[in-house]
Amino acid sequence: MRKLLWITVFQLGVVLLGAAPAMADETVLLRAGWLHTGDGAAIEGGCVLVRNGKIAAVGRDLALPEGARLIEAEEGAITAGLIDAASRAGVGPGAGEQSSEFVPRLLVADEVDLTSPDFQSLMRCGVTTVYVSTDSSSVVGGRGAVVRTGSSRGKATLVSSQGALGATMSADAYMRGAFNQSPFGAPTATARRPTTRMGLVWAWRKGFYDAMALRDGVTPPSGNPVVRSDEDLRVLIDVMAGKIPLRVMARTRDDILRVVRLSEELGFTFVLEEALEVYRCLDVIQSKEIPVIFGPLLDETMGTRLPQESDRLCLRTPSMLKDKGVLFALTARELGGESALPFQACFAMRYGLSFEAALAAVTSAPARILGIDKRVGRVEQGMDADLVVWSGPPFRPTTRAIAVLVEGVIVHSEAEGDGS
Amino acid sequence: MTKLVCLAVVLASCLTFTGAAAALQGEPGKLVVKAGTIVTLGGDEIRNGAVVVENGRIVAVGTDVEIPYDATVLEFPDKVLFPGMVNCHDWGGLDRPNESIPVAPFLDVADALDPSSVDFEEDLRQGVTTVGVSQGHDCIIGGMGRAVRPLGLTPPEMTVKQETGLKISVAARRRSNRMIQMSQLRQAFHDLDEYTGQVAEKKYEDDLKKKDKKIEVGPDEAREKGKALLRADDLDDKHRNLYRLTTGAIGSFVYAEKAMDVKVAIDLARERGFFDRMTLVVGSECFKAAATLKEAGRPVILTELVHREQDPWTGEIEETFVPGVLAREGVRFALLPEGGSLGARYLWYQAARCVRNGVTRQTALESITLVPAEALGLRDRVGSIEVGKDANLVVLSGDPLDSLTWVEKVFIEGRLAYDKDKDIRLLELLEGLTRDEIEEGGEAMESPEDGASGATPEVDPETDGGKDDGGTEGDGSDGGFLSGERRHAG
Repeated sequence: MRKLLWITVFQLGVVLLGAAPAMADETVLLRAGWLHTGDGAAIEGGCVLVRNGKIAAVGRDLALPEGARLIEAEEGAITAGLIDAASRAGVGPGAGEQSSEFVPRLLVADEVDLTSPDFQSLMRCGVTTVYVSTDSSSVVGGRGAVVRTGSSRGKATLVSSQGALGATMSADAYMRGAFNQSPFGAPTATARRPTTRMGLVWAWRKGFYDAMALRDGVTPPSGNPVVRSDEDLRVLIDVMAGKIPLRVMARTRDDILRVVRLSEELGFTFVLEEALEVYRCLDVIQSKEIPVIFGPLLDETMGTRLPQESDRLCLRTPSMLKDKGVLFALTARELGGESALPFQACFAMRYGLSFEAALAAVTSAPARILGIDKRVGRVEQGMDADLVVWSGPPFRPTTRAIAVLVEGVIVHSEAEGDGS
Repeated sequence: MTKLVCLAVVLASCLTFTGAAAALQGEPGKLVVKAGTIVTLGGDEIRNGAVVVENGRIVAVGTDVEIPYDATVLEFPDKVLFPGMVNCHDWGGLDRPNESIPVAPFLDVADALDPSSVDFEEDLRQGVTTVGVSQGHDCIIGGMGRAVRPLGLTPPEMTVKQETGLKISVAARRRSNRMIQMSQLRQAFHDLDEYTGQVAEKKYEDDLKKKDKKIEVGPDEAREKGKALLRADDLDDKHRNLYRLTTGAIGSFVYAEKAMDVKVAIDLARERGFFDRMTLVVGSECFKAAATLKEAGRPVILTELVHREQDPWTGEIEETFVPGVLAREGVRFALLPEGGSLGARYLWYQAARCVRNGVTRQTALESITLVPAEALGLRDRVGSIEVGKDANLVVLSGDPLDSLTWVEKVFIEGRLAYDKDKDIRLLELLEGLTRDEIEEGGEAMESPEDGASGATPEVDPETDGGKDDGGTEGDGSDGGFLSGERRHAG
């Protein structure tokens, strides 16, 4: 008994000790050569005061409160923490559900490994919030999760499991081999639909029309149901009612226009993901005000991510989206290292995007798309203190994140020997 | 039809290269390149200076140089002039990187070199003017490397230096292990000893025969005496290069994948007499042998910049930035492009990564110019803007390590080899245009049908968006690809 008590005390001690180096209520003052607030202002010698996990003050020449910690980068810059609105962090490749091609009831949050090193490396390069999208191998997959990459306990935390519903309008949903396997036993031709783009569009329609039938209290027309449960259909009803946002992954121009036509027919609005060939149908995207989560950016001279899907790249796509006034975010999706989100912004700038627009595309725009722009995405008094201190001008290959704060907690700092 | 289009594209790329090759064959005149900033790397940066080029060589550099009256003067007052970068270990231009015969010192990469490879085109686009072509790592003793300029229609035209070095690997080949690797490597040198011994013995005998003398010594002594008479030409193809390696006549690129391989490679090179001209090509884990590398004093080529290792107990992944460790230790290293990543395929970006991780700017810049030049044995010819060196000059729009900087012009030995304004493929990629559309002035980028909303969903006509491919076949004039006159005003 006594031993047990000791163990409990010991465990408690460990927990406290673990939390001790980065308490959420610590007061921190950040000071840098430039402060980019995210609404167009660049304040020279800008400071940000962080208290109780929130941004308490923003401005020039803020005094260092007693007992507060100072993080300074004279040559550097401060921005809001970066947000990836279509990440695949924390879920391994091929984590798509294979038992059915229509699984709106599933939650990606159930699949996300919050202790995954993915989040650590994202956090260290300045990404503080990610939306984990569904795998693209389902016609309609599950609902995504919003995750913060760091916390006082040193691991990622789940913010919301009730994200947008993810759907696919691309060959991913019917390609065999690496993408889709039949669910159980010996593979059969009928085990998993669809097998063509025709089947793909049919599955979309069937699912939505069955949902309409349920909503309107009529008996659904006979035929092979693609949706197995009413639970699934209710999610689609909510999508059509605008209560749950819809994400559609599409790459080619034809697929993008196909979703646009379906959205008119079935009555839903959506956010476009990946959108490799969106530059070929910008006017439609602009007139329909469809938000775009573009990426990952590819600059291979030859070939693309999925050669069957498109061989027509346009490196200036981000700046074209900006010129058309489309609400767009950049994503690195499953890529990390030198292709991670800050470098997506870096190369979007190389291909013509202005710094302010690039910053917006990885902070305020994804926050708006995710509906969390009241809390994160800009450096403003009262917002959550998700901040990055950069060693130099942000989104340059010679610049690194020297300090990262998530809800006021210093989750990464070079001062603690965490660097390089 | 598709085939026809493919053919047209191939023809078009040939035409591009013909243009470049024609420039190569022309008589180089006198050239003066003036620039706002000259990053010489041989000395200090020069503001508002000029580089004088005669016969493809740099004859003067500075702010106060005499401009020959008959020279072509090019002025870039707001640009940065940088030495052509050196990519010192690449198999991108080869049809395949490795031969299936494990011991093949008789091979030469020149025989597999494809001058029309897009890799060379991409090299120019990124400001690389010297490429060390080598075979891959998957060998025991591989073929002979060669330094080329990414310009020209045939391997001889491209060649800057033949015989840069033999490729050797002390790391295990695919589906093999280190014991087998080292035993076969030792066997190869043992075979060489045997063979050269036999040839030397015969040579000695023949020599005596010529002088009508009788052989008075035993075979062992005859071998020893014959060795003095032995020349590389006496040996067969299979052994000649290996023999020349052991006499120090040619260099080598020795691949060491792990830290454990480094000492093995150095010891082998010392034992077999090729240490003095050896360059080590190392995997990321070799940073653990930084002290050994430092002591060896030979240039090192890094294949990867970041080493990731998982702690077997905690599962935590530790990342080490390898150039940072080597720079602290004082090891001279050359960088290579890394496949896959967004920026890491570019040499300048690799150098920028080094600066990001605390390596000094000078060291980072040298790691893509002077050190790789040294690794190829070309330090007296390329890698910096200095008098006497080849006039390999890159006109940059800004700082060499900034991602907003573009390579605008590339001069190789005083000849214009690349001009961004005429880079049709880059234009295609940037604007998302096809060549036909570039010809038409970029009008066909967006089809008129896209603008029409509210198409009847029931019909769902999967027409090809109204983009008219039909009418462009006739007017594909050759001039348009090269001239760059009709550049789409994006």
